[in-house]
Amino acid sequence: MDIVKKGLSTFVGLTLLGIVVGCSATEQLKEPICAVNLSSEQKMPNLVLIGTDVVNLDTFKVNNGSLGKSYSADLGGASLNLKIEGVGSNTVITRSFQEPGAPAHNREYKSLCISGETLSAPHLVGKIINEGLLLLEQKSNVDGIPTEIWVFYSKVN
Amino acid sequence: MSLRTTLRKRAKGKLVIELQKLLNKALAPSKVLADGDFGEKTRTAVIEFQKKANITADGIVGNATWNALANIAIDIIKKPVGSNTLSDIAAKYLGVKETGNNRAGTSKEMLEIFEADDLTINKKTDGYPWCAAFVSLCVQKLCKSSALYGALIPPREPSVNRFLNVWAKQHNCLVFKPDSQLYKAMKGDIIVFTFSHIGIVESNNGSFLTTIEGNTNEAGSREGITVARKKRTTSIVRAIIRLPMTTISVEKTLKDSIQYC
Repeated sequence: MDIVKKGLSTFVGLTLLGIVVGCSATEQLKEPICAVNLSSEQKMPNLVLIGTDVVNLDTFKVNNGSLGKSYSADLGGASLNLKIEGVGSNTVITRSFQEPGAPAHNREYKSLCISGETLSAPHLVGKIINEGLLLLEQKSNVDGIPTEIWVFYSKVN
Repeated sequence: MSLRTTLRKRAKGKLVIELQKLLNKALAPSKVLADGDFGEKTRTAVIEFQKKANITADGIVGNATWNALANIAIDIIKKPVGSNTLSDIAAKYLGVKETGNNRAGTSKEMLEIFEADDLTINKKTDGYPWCAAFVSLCVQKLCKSSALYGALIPPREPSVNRFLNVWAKQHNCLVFKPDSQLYKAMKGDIIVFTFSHIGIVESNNGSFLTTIEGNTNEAGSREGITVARKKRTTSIVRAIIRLPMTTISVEKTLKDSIQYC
Protein backbone atom coordinates (compact mmCIF):
# COMPACT_ATOMS: atom_id res chain seq x y z
CA MET A 1 0.00 0.00 0.00
CA ASP A 2 2.86 2.28 0.91
CA ILE A 3 4.54 1.56 -2.39
CA VAL A 4 1.32 2.45 -4.20
CA LYS A 5 1.05 5.73 -2.20
CA LYS A 6 4.70 6.65 -2.87
CA GLY A 7 4.30 5.87 -6.56
CA LEU A 8 1.13 7.94 -6.73
CA SER A 9 2.68 10.94 -5.00
CA THR A 10 5.78 10.71 -7.22
CA PHE A 11 3.52 10.58 -10.27
CA VAL A 12 1.48 13.59 -9.09
CA GLY A 13 4.66 15.49 -8.21
CA LEU A 14 6.27 14.82 -11.57
CA THR A 15 3.07 15.71 -13.40
CA LEU A 16 2.85 19.06 -11.57
CA LEU A 17 6.51 19.74 -12.26
CA GLY A 18 5.92 18.93 -15.91
CA ILE A 19 3.02 21.37 -16.02
CA VAL A 20 5.07 24.12 -14.35
CA VAL A 21 8.07 23.56 -16.65
CA GLY A 22 5.77 23.40 -19.65
CA CYS A 23 4.05 26.65 -18.65
CA SER A 24 7.28 28.55 -18.10
CA ALA A 25 8.65 27.26 -21.39
CA THR A 26 5.49 28.46 -23.10
CA GLU A 27 5.82 31.84 -21.33
CA GLN A 28 9.35 32.28 -22.64
CA LEU A 29 8.27 31.59 -26.17
CA LYS A 30 5.26 33.90 -25.98
CA GLU A 31 5.70 37.41 -27.39
CA PRO A 32 4.25 40.16 -25.23
CA ILE A 33 0.82 41.38 -26.17
CA CYS A 34 1.26 44.51 -28.25
CA ALA A 35 0.35 47.51 -26.16
CA VAL A 36 -0.92 49.43 -29.16
CA ASN A 37 -3.19 47.94 -31.75
CA LEU A 38 -2.20 49.18 -35.17
CA SER A 39 -5.85 49.71 -36.03
CA SER A 40 -6.01 52.37 -33.29
CA GLU A 41 -3.36 54.41 -35.11
CA GLN A 42 -6.05 56.77 -36.39
CA LYS A 43 -5.99 58.29 -32.89
CA MET A 44 -2.24 58.85 -33.04
CA PRO A 45 -0.95 62.40 -33.59
CA ASN A 46 -0.01 63.47 -37.07
CA LEU A 47 2.62 65.99 -36.00
CA VAL A 48 6.29 65.38 -35.28
CA LEU A 49 8.73 67.47 -33.27
CA ILE A 50 12.04 67.57 -35.07
CA GLY A 51 14.59 69.67 -33.21
CA THR A 52 12.53 72.78 -32.44
CA ASP A 53 10.20 72.49 -35.43
CA VAL A 54 6.85 70.77 -35.74
CA VAL A 55 6.22 69.05 -39.07
CA ASN A 56 3.66 66.65 -40.53
CA LEU A 57 4.06 62.93 -39.94
CA ASP A 58 3.85 62.23 -43.67
CA THR A 59 7.25 63.93 -44.08
CA PHE A 60 8.75 60.65 -42.85
CA LYS A 61 8.91 57.28 -44.53
CA VAL A 62 8.53 54.20 -42.33
CA ASN A 63 11.16 51.52 -42.64
CA ASN A 64 10.93 47.81 -41.87
CA GLY A 65 14.63 47.79 -41.05
CA SER A 66 16.08 46.75 -37.76
CA LEU A 67 16.10 48.86 -34.64
CA GLY A 68 19.40 50.64 -33.90
CA LYS A 69 21.21 50.64 -30.57
CA SER A 70 21.19 54.36 -29.81
CA TYR A 71 19.37 57.47 -30.94
CA SER A 72 19.44 61.13 -29.93
CA ALA A 73 17.46 64.36 -30.23
CA ASP A 74 18.24 68.01 -29.38
CA LEU A 75 15.10 69.96 -28.47
CA GLY A 76 16.64 73.41 -28.10
CA GLY A 77 16.73 73.24 -24.31
CA ALA A 78 17.42 69.58 -23.63
CA SER A 79 19.22 66.52 -24.94
CA LEU A 80 17.29 63.30 -25.35
CA ASN A 81 19.06 59.98 -25.73
CA LEU A 82 17.76 56.46 -26.28
CA LYS A 83 19.67 53.29 -25.48
CA ILE A 84 18.22 50.10 -26.86
CA GLU A 85 19.32 46.76 -25.43
CA GLY A 86 18.22 43.15 -25.76
CA VAL A 87 16.46 41.35 -28.57
CA GLY A 88 12.89 40.43 -29.44
CA SER A 89 10.48 40.60 -26.55
CA ASN A 90 13.36 41.25 -24.15
CA THR A 91 14.23 44.55 -25.79
CA VAL A 92 14.43 47.44 -23.33
CA ILE A 93 14.45 51.12 -24.31
CA THR A 94 16.06 53.50 -21.84
CA ARG A 95 15.27 57.14 -22.47
CA SER A 96 17.35 59.90 -20.91
CA PHE A 97 16.19 63.55 -20.83
CA GLN A 98 18.59 66.21 -19.65
CA GLU A 99 18.43 69.98 -19.46
CA PRO A 100 21.78 71.67 -18.76
CA GLY A 101 22.43 72.17 -15.07
CA ALA A 102 19.53 69.93 -14.06
CA PRO A 103 19.41 66.24 -13.13
CA ALA A 104 18.72 63.70 -15.90
CA HIS A 105 15.34 62.00 -16.07
CA ASN A 106 15.73 58.38 -17.11
CA ARG A 107 12.96 55.96 -17.88
CA GLU A 108 12.99 52.33 -18.96
CA TYR A 109 10.38 50.88 -21.27
CA LYS A 110 10.19 47.09 -21.05
CA SER A 111 7.87 44.46 -22.60
CA LEU A 112 8.54 45.98 -25.98
CA CYS A 113 6.51 44.63 -28.85
CA ILE A 114 8.03 45.07 -32.30
CA SER A 115 5.73 44.52 -35.23
CA GLY A 116 7.12 45.52 -38.62
CA GLU A 117 8.09 49.16 -38.41
CA THR A 118 6.02 49.79 -35.27
CA LEU A 119 7.11 49.25 -31.71
CA SER A 120 5.08 49.58 -28.55
CA ALA A 121 5.23 49.19 -24.81
CA PRO A 122 2.93 50.45 -22.07
CA HIS A 123 2.61 54.25 -22.62
CA LEU A 124 5.06 54.16 -25.53
CA VAL A 125 4.65 53.91 -29.29
CA GLY A 126 7.40 54.11 -31.87
CA LYS A 127 7.91 53.99 -35.60
CA ILE A 128 11.14 53.01 -37.29
CA ILE A 129 11.82 55.44 -40.14
CA ASN A 130 14.56 55.86 -42.70
CA GLU A 131 16.60 58.39 -40.72
CA GLY A 132 15.86 57.27 -37.19
CA LEU A 133 12.95 56.70 -34.88
CA LEU A 134 9.71 58.48 -34.04
CA LEU A 135 8.68 58.05 -30.44
CA LEU A 136 5.51 59.02 -28.61
CA GLU A 137 5.67 58.85 -24.83
CA GLN A 138 2.05 59.00 -23.80
CA LYS A 139 2.87 59.56 -20.11
CA SER A 140 6.39 60.92 -20.07
CA ASN A 141 5.99 62.53 -16.62
CA VAL A 142 8.65 65.04 -17.67
CA ASP A 143 7.90 68.69 -18.43
CA GLY A 144 9.70 69.14 -21.70
CA ILE A 145 8.83 65.84 -23.39
CA PRO A 146 5.60 66.38 -25.30
CA THR A 147 2.88 63.74 -24.96
CA GLU A 148 0.76 64.88 -27.88
CA ILE A 149 3.27 64.90 -30.71
CA TRP A 150 5.87 62.42 -31.92
CA VAL A 151 9.52 63.18 -31.22
CA PHE A 152 12.06 62.53 -33.95
CA TYR A 153 15.28 60.83 -32.84
CA SER A 154 18.17 60.50 -35.25
CA LYS A 155 20.06 57.21 -35.33
CA VAL A 156 23.48 57.32 -33.68
CA ASN A 157 24.35 53.65 -34.26
CA MET B 1 -4.99 108.64 -3.40
CA SER B 2 -2.70 106.33 -5.36
CA LEU B 3 -3.94 103.88 -7.98
CA ARG B 4 -2.48 101.16 -5.74
CA THR B 5 -4.56 102.11 -2.70
CA THR B 6 -6.23 99.03 -1.20
CA LEU B 7 -9.95 99.01 -1.91
CA ARG B 8 -12.57 96.85 -0.24
CA LYS B 9 -16.34 96.69 0.19
CA ARG B 10 -17.96 99.99 1.19
CA ALA B 11 -15.13 102.05 -0.37
CA LYS B 12 -16.39 104.98 -2.38
CA GLY B 13 -15.04 107.53 -4.79
CA LYS B 14 -13.31 108.15 -8.09
CA LEU B 15 -10.81 105.33 -7.70
CA VAL B 16 -13.67 102.85 -7.30
CA ILE B 17 -15.11 104.11 -10.60
CA GLU B 18 -11.76 103.42 -12.31
CA LEU B 19 -11.68 99.96 -10.73
CA GLN B 20 -15.21 99.23 -11.92
CA LYS B 21 -14.32 100.33 -15.46
CA LEU B 22 -11.26 98.11 -15.52
CA LEU B 23 -13.27 95.17 -14.20
CA ASN B 24 -15.81 95.67 -16.96
CA LYS B 25 -13.01 95.56 -19.54
CA ALA B 26 -11.48 92.46 -17.98
CA LEU B 27 -14.70 90.54 -17.46
CA ALA B 28 -16.62 91.64 -20.57
CA PRO B 29 -19.47 91.17 -21.26
CA SER B 30 -20.38 91.20 -17.54
CA LYS B 31 -21.12 94.75 -16.42
CA VAL B 32 -20.71 96.40 -13.06
CA LEU B 33 -22.30 99.83 -12.73
CA ALA B 34 -19.43 102.34 -12.59
CA ASP B 35 -21.02 104.39 -9.82
CA GLY B 36 -18.06 104.70 -7.45
CA ASP B 37 -19.73 102.54 -4.80
CA PHE B 38 -17.85 99.32 -3.89
CA GLY B 39 -20.93 97.21 -3.14
CA GLU B 40 -21.67 93.51 -3.30
CA LYS B 41 -21.78 93.37 -7.12
CA THR B 42 -18.36 95.00 -7.38
CA ARG B 43 -16.99 92.61 -4.73
CA THR B 44 -18.37 89.61 -6.69
CA ALA B 45 -16.75 90.96 -9.86
CA VAL B 46 -13.42 91.43 -8.06
CA ILE B 47 -13.55 87.81 -6.82
CA GLU B 48 -14.37 86.57 -10.32
CA PHE B 49 -11.43 88.53 -11.73
CA GLN B 50 -9.08 87.29 -8.99
CA LYS B 51 -10.05 83.67 -9.72
CA LYS B 52 -9.37 84.12 -13.42
CA ALA B 53 -6.05 85.82 -12.64
CA ASN B 54 -5.12 82.95 -10.31
CA ILE B 55 -4.56 85.20 -7.30
CA THR B 56 -6.13 85.07 -3.83
CA ALA B 57 -9.88 85.51 -4.34
CA ASP B 58 -10.74 87.62 -1.28
CA GLY B 59 -12.65 90.48 -2.91
CA ILE B 60 -10.08 93.01 -1.68
CA VAL B 61 -8.17 95.03 -4.26
CA GLY B 62 -4.55 95.15 -3.08
CA ASN B 63 -1.18 95.12 -4.84
CA ALA B 64 -1.63 91.70 -6.49
CA THR B 65 -5.02 92.66 -7.93
CA TRP B 66 -3.80 96.08 -9.15
CA ASN B 67 -0.82 94.34 -10.79
CA ALA B 68 -3.12 91.86 -12.50
CA LEU B 69 -5.38 94.72 -13.65
CA ALA B 70 -2.33 96.57 -14.98
CA ASN B 71 -1.49 93.56 -17.12
CA ILE B 72 -5.02 93.75 -18.55
CA ALA B 73 -4.54 97.48 -19.06
CA ILE B 74 -1.47 96.85 -21.22
CA ASP B 75 -3.75 95.24 -23.79
CA ILE B 76 -6.13 98.19 -23.60
CA ILE B 77 -3.65 101.03 -24.08
CA LYS B 78 -1.58 99.32 -26.82
CA LYS B 79 1.41 101.43 -25.86
CA PRO B 80 4.95 100.11 -25.46
CA VAL B 81 5.90 99.01 -21.96
CA GLY B 82 9.41 98.46 -20.62
CA SER B 83 9.55 94.73 -21.24
CA ASN B 84 8.73 95.27 -24.94
CA THR B 85 12.37 96.05 -25.55
CA LEU B 86 13.34 92.48 -24.61
CA SER B 87 12.59 91.34 -28.15
CA ASP B 88 14.56 94.30 -29.58
CA ILE B 89 17.58 93.11 -27.58
CA ALA B 90 17.02 89.57 -28.85
CA ALA B 91 16.76 90.76 -32.45
CA LYS B 92 20.35 92.04 -32.33
CA TYR B 93 21.50 88.41 -32.07
CA LEU B 94 19.58 87.13 -35.10
CA GLY B 95 21.86 84.97 -37.22
CA VAL B 96 24.41 84.27 -34.48
CA LYS B 97 25.47 80.65 -35.00
CA GLU B 98 27.16 77.96 -32.96
CA THR B 99 30.13 76.03 -34.30
CA GLY B 100 28.29 72.69 -34.35
CA ASN B 101 27.32 70.47 -31.44
CA ASN B 102 26.32 73.42 -29.23
CA ARG B 103 29.82 74.94 -29.24
CA ALA B 104 30.64 78.64 -29.07
CA GLY B 105 33.72 78.28 -31.24
CA THR B 106 35.24 81.69 -31.93
CA SER B 107 31.97 83.59 -31.94
CA LYS B 108 32.02 86.39 -29.35
CA GLU B 109 28.25 86.55 -29.31
CA MET B 110 27.94 82.80 -28.74
CA LEU B 111 30.39 82.97 -25.88
CA GLU B 112 28.38 85.86 -24.42
CA ILE B 113 25.27 83.65 -24.58
CA PHE B 114 26.96 80.70 -22.85
CA GLU B 115 28.44 82.99 -20.20
CA ALA B 116 24.95 84.21 -19.32
CA ASP B 117 24.54 81.18 -17.06
CA ASP B 118 26.79 79.75 -14.38
CA LEU B 119 27.31 76.41 -16.01
CA THR B 120 30.74 75.18 -16.92
CA ILE B 121 31.47 71.79 -18.38
CA ASN B 122 35.12 70.77 -18.56
CA LYS B 123 36.03 74.37 -17.69
CA LYS B 124 34.22 75.62 -20.76
CA THR B 125 30.92 77.38 -20.87
CA ASP B 126 29.62 75.70 -23.97
CA GLY B 127 28.61 72.33 -25.34
CA TYR B 128 25.02 72.13 -24.15
CA PRO B 129 21.56 73.21 -25.36
CA TRP B 130 21.51 76.99 -25.01
CA CYS B 131 18.02 78.41 -25.65
CA ALA B 132 17.50 79.26 -21.95
CA ALA B 133 20.97 80.82 -21.72
CA PHE B 134 20.03 83.06 -24.66
CA VAL B 135 16.82 84.28 -22.99
CA SER B 136 18.75 84.78 -19.72
CA LEU B 137 21.24 86.98 -21.57
CA CYS B 138 18.48 89.13 -23.08
CA VAL B 139 16.81 89.65 -19.67
CA GLN B 140 20.20 90.53 -18.14
CA LYS B 141 20.72 93.16 -20.84
CA LEU B 142 17.22 94.55 -20.30
CA CYS B 143 17.84 94.87 -16.56
CA LYS B 144 21.09 96.74 -17.23
CA SER B 145 19.64 99.08 -19.82
CA SER B 146 16.20 99.88 -18.41
CA ALA B 147 15.60 101.78 -15.19
CA LEU B 148 12.23 100.04 -15.00
CA TYR B 149 13.96 96.70 -14.41
CA GLY B 150 16.97 97.84 -12.43
CA ALA B 151 15.65 96.14 -9.28
CA LEU B 152 14.93 92.80 -10.97
CA ILE B 153 17.54 90.08 -10.37
CA PRO B 154 17.89 88.61 -13.86
CA PRO B 155 18.07 84.87 -14.52
CA ARG B 156 21.29 82.93 -15.08
CA GLU B 157 19.43 79.79 -16.10
CA PRO B 158 20.54 77.15 -18.60
CA SER B 159 17.46 75.00 -17.86
CA VAL B 160 14.04 75.80 -19.36
CA ASN B 161 12.14 74.05 -16.54
CA ARG B 162 14.05 75.94 -13.86
CA PHE B 163 13.56 79.22 -15.74
CA LEU B 164 9.80 78.70 -15.65
CA ASN B 165 9.26 76.89 -12.37
CA VAL B 166 11.92 78.52 -10.20
CA TRP B 167 13.19 81.87 -11.51
CA ALA B 168 9.89 83.22 -12.94
CA LYS B 169 7.93 82.27 -9.84
CA GLN B 170 10.52 83.54 -7.35
CA HIS B 171 10.64 86.91 -9.11
CA ASN B 172 6.89 87.56 -9.28
CA CYS B 173 6.60 87.26 -13.03
CA LEU B 174 3.11 86.91 -14.43
CA VAL B 175 2.86 83.33 -15.74
CA PHE B 176 -0.17 82.39 -17.80
CA LYS B 177 -1.36 79.73 -20.23
CA PRO B 178 -1.99 80.48 -23.90
CA ASP B 179 -5.73 79.89 -23.39
CA SER B 180 -5.94 82.46 -20.57
CA GLN B 181 -9.21 84.39 -20.62
CA LEU B 182 -7.47 87.48 -19.25
CA TYR B 183 -4.04 87.80 -20.83
CA LYS B 184 -2.65 87.60 -24.34
CA ALA B 185 0.98 87.08 -25.28
CA MET B 186 2.58 90.35 -26.40
CA LYS B 187 5.91 91.71 -27.56
CA GLY B 188 8.59 91.15 -24.93
CA ASP B 189 6.89 88.20 -23.24
CA ILE B 190 8.86 84.98 -22.80
CA ILE B 191 7.35 81.86 -24.29
CA VAL B 192 7.88 78.31 -22.98
CA PHE B 193 6.99 75.45 -25.30
CA THR B 194 5.39 72.07 -24.56
CA PHE B 195 8.81 70.63 -25.41
CA SER B 196 11.99 71.81 -23.70
CA HIS B 197 12.46 75.12 -25.48
CA ILE B 198 12.08 78.84 -24.71
CA GLY B 199 12.05 82.05 -26.72
CA ILE B 200 10.94 85.70 -26.77
CA VAL B 201 7.73 87.01 -28.36
CA GLU B 202 8.25 89.67 -31.02
CA SER B 203 4.60 90.01 -32.04
CA ASN B 204 1.21 88.36 -31.76
CA ASN B 205 -1.27 88.74 -34.59
CA GLY B 206 -3.94 86.60 -32.95
CA SER B 207 -3.37 83.60 -35.20
CA PHE B 208 0.30 83.02 -34.58
CA LEU B 209 3.22 84.37 -32.60
CA THR B 210 6.43 85.64 -34.11
CA THR B 211 9.30 84.76 -31.79
CA ILE B 212 13.06 85.05 -31.54
CA GLU B 213 14.69 81.87 -30.24
CA GLY B 214 18.18 80.61 -29.55
CA ASN B 215 19.45 77.13 -30.45
CA THR B 216 16.84 76.81 -33.15
CA ASN B 217 17.04 76.74 -36.94
CA GLU B 218 16.01 78.50 -40.07
CA ALA B 219 12.94 76.92 -41.66
CA GLY B 220 13.89 73.71 -43.40
CA SER B 221 16.86 72.82 -41.24
CA ARG B 222 16.61 70.16 -38.55
CA GLU B 223 19.53 71.11 -36.34
CA GLY B 224 19.27 73.80 -33.68
CA ILE B 225 22.30 75.96 -34.38
CA THR B 226 21.34 79.60 -34.50
CA VAL B 227 19.30 82.53 -33.19
CA ALA B 228 16.35 82.75 -35.54
CA ARG B 229 12.94 84.32 -35.98
CA LYS B 230 10.13 81.73 -35.94
CA LYS B 231 6.37 81.65 -36.45
CA ARG B 232 4.60 79.62 -33.79
CA THR B 233 1.05 78.48 -33.09
CA THR B 234 -0.19 78.52 -29.49
CA SER B 235 -0.94 74.78 -29.61
CA ILE B 236 2.70 74.07 -28.75
CA VAL B 237 2.96 76.71 -26.01
CA ARG B 238 3.10 75.53 -22.38
CA ALA B 239 3.27 78.92 -20.64
CA ILE B 240 3.92 82.59 -21.19
CA ILE B 241 6.06 84.59 -18.78
CA ARG B 242 5.71 88.36 -18.47
CA LEU B 243 8.40 90.19 -16.54
CA PRO B 244 7.09 91.87 -13.38
CA MET B 245 6.07 95.51 -13.69
CA THR B 246 7.50 98.02 -11.28
CA THR B 247 5.26 100.08 -9.01
CA ILE B 248 5.80 103.11 -11.25
CA SER B 249 4.92 101.30 -14.45
CA VAL B 250 1.84 99.67 -12.89
CA GLU B 251 0.53 103.11 -11.89
CA LYS B 252 1.38 104.66 -15.24
CA THR B 253 -0.26 101.84 -17.17
CA LEU B 254 -3.40 102.02 -15.04
CA LYS B 255 -3.59 105.79 -15.40
CA ASP B 256 -3.10 105.58 -19.17
CA SER B 257 -5.72 102.86 -19.49
CA ILE B 258 -8.43 104.80 -17.69
CA GLN B 259 -8.96 107.15 -20.60
CA TYR B 260 -9.66 104.14 -22.86
CA CYS B 261 -12.24 102.50 -20.54
